[in-house]
Amino acid sequence: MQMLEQDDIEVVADAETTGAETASLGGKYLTFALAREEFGLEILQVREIIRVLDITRVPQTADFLRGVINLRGKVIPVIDLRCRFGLPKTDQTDETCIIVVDTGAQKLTGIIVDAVREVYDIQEENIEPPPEFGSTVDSTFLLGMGKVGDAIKILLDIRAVLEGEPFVRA
Amino acid sequence: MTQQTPDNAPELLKQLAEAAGRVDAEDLTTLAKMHGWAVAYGAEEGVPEDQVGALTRALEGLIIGTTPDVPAALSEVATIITELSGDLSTVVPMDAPADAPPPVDAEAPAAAASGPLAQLLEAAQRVDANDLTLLAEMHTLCQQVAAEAVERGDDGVRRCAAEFAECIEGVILGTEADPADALRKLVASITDLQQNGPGEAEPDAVRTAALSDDEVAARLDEAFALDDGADDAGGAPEPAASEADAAPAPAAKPAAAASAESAAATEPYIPEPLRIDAKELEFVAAFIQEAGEHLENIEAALLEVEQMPDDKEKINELFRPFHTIKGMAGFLNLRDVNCLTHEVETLLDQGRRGERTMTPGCIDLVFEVIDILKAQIGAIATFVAAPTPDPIPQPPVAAMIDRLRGVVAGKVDPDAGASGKRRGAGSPAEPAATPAVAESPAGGPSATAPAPVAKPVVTEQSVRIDTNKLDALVDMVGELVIAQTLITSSTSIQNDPKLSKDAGQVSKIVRDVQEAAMAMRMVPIKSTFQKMARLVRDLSRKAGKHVELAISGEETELDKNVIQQIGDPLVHMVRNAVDHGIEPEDARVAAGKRASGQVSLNAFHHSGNIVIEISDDGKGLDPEKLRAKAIDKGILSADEVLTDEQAYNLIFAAGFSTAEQITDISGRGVGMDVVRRNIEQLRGRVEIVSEKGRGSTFSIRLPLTLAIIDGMLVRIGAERFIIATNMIEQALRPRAEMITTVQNRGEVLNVRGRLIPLIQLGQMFAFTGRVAPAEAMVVIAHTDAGDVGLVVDELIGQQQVVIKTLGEQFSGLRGISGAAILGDGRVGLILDPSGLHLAHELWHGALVAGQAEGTAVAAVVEPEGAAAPDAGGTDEATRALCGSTAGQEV
Repeated sequence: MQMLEQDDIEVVADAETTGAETASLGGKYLTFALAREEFGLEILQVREIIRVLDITRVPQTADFLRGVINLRGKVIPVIDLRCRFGLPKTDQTDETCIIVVDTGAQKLTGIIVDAVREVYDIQEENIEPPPEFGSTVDSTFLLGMGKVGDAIKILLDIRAVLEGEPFVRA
Repeated sequence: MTQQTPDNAPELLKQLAEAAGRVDAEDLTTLAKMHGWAVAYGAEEGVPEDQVGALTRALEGLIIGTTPDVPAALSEVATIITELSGDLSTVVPMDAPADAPPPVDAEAPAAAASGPLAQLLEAAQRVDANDLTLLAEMHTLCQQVAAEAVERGDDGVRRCAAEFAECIEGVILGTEADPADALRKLVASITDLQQNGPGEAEPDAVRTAALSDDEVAARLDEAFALDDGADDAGGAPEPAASEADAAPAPAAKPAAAASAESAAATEPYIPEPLRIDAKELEFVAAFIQEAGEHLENIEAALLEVEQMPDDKEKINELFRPFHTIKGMAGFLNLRDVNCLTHEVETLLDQGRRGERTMTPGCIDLVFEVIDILKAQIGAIATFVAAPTPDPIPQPPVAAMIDRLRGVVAGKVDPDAGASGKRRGAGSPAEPAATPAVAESPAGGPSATAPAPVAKPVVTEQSVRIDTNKLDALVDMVGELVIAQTLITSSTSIQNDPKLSKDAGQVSKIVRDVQEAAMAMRMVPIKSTFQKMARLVRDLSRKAGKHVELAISGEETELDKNVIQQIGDPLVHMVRNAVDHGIEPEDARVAAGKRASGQVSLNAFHHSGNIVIEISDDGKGLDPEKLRAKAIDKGILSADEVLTDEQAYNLIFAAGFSTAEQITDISGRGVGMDVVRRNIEQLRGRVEIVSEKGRGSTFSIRLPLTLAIIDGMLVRIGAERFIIATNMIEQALRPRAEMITTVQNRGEVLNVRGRLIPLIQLGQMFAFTGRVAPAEAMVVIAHTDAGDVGLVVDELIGQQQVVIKTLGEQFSGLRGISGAAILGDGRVGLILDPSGLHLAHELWHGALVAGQAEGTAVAAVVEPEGAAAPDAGGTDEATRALCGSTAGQEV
């Protein structure tokens, strides 16, 4: 697993994550790998990164909800992002981990990703609006496409991802 | 005429005081001496000439014999001397009888005519604009003066007194622009009134420094120039002077009414719309909270007064909280509350001074006032929660205020009329004074008429804390406990002796912190029990029975959340006890019992739980009757055999009620099942012990804290779940022959004649396929709709676990009420049997419907008796569940 720089982790741990709409999209993003694409999350919304622990399954919930875990005394849901995006399943590896995101008001959720990459500072002028079609992922989940060098990182609106579908199946 | 004349002021006063205490109207010698002393005193530096003048004149009148009202004059003398002595404690304190004690003369009716006005003056001289208490007392005095004036037909004085009252009201309510100034002018005006009053009937009796009517009028005008609110008494009162009353004055004739009742403004009370400024919301919120607490104390105190109406100290205890509420309301311009409490306070004041007996009519009146106040505060609370610019809708108080004024003035009899409904069959009219004495309770104390042991009142220091802060603290402490457990159990710590020791120390301290945090949320059950006292009183009257309530263990503490939620169930059970448990008086007497029934509430700790018992000595539960009713309602089949205890538990079944008559209190059959549900939601249990003809006892057992439950850990497939043990009736491995299948209802378990539906949890959750019950475990649990049997793979054991919520996003989950952190740190979901039952109905229904339509759900339902659970069938089962959702859209 790629190790984040100590500074980044501390920023993450201390920051008041509010998940507020930032007027400008430019800023720091944590990037991670999922099914051969690279995605980015606003660093302010990232609480921590943990290994994949025992996940307790919850009956009668959506497929993409893997279950719940005990995060230092708090019970939080864990989403399988591949399933959420409709991508094929894959086996777990050493690099698979859970990113715990804070979408505001102490609402914590874990997302399972293939591997965590680096934190990049992506300026506004390097971010393009999401394409209408043809992207791996539904454009309602996207903030934009960020350019880092020659590579493109798909910047996610994690709130939209997590709140778009109900967890509980009727 | 005097022999020894002491030289200095204090000595003079002392002599005067001593003489005043023993002098009578015939003792001219002493009177003469006093006159001399008074004159000498008047010659001293720095003495208040007005008062000395008045004293001298009064003495002269007594000596010469021109005083028409001798006792009053003597009283005035005494009063002035006391005032001059400057000893406030001997100045007539407000809660002593309004009549300054006349030196001799038993005939003199209570109130001395100069009494109120002199007191008023004295009070006016020392009051300041913020002293609401004293201002209120002055207001009362004005009313007394006015009343006396009315008696004499002295309109001028009455109007002056009314003016004074208005002025004081203005200061209290804060409508005076310059209160301090107004008060000074008030002092001046009262003084004038006093000085220029004819203590004698003859206009040309001994009088000095008399102001003419016009001058008085002008002075009063000046005093009240700031006061706009004058209604009746107008701006410049023209003393409609009869010759005898050259200027308004306190009458010589004492008030006829010994109790010095005063009708306040004779006009009816006119309410005004109430608006609260946004700036004041915070204060009003605090007021609501404190007033609520005061009202609780008031109710408890009133019930005691009802039992012992002659105990003036108890009436005083009742007076004080009303007084406090009045002050607060006045400060916040809550006029209706302020005026209502003022009136009831006046009534109680009469009571505590012995001027009025607290008859049952009075007591009922105060209860009514309490109810109105609760409604008022409720209305204000609603407004504070959702403020609008509109005036606050308020319950009508005018009628009650007028009524109270009438009672206070002696014009209305509080016991007339309305008492009919309260005199039930048992005629509780008498017993008010002789409850526990006449009928010695067979066992157990009666707390409603406690032995008059003075309870030492311990005033505690306390701090008000926002409950959110408290909850946050408790949560953090919970996490602290878990974190330190992780540390202390880590191997590297355990291998290092020193670290291990230190870690152990940390553990211990953390445990103490946790206990302290939990203890902060603990609140005594006392106030809940006290509310029951009022309830029992009202209920027993309504039902026409005489029922006493005995409480014990009221100091027992519970978590504050639990206390809030236990209220309703308790109320329901107490109602049942009074309504159904206690028999009517004649039935009781016929059965050889005491005529009055007893309901008792008891609370205590027992092995980590708190137990609340509700007992009654009524007719007890009849198992036969319960059985019959249950069969009648189809809840029970005719051939089922039940133990007595199981029969008692029938009352918890939904829709069950054996009351012949549905009263508006109870008997609709929607009660006990809800009660049990509420208690189970608190992780508690209800148990019943009863003896036909003797009575019943309901015991509520609750865990000391909501956050931890006692759970049965079970395994379903590869997952572990918790079922709260208080919901479990029993767990068993059924024999194959106990299981049958009912058409369209699925599998059913036959337990000693009872048919209990089985829920295949693994299958329903799509974790496993169907499990043969005979090879698994069935946990029989309570639900709203009867018991169900939950089929699980294995019972792992009992565990105490900490409850965590899953969060809003999971609120639609049926059958899962939360999550728990198990001993190994993993999460186990908590099962809710009622929710599971509902989920099962829906799921099974859809399943059956799917089968009927022939869709491919056959993969899920395997034929009867098939063996191993199909762990790999998950995907198919899931698809089947999804396929069958079509039938689930309801």
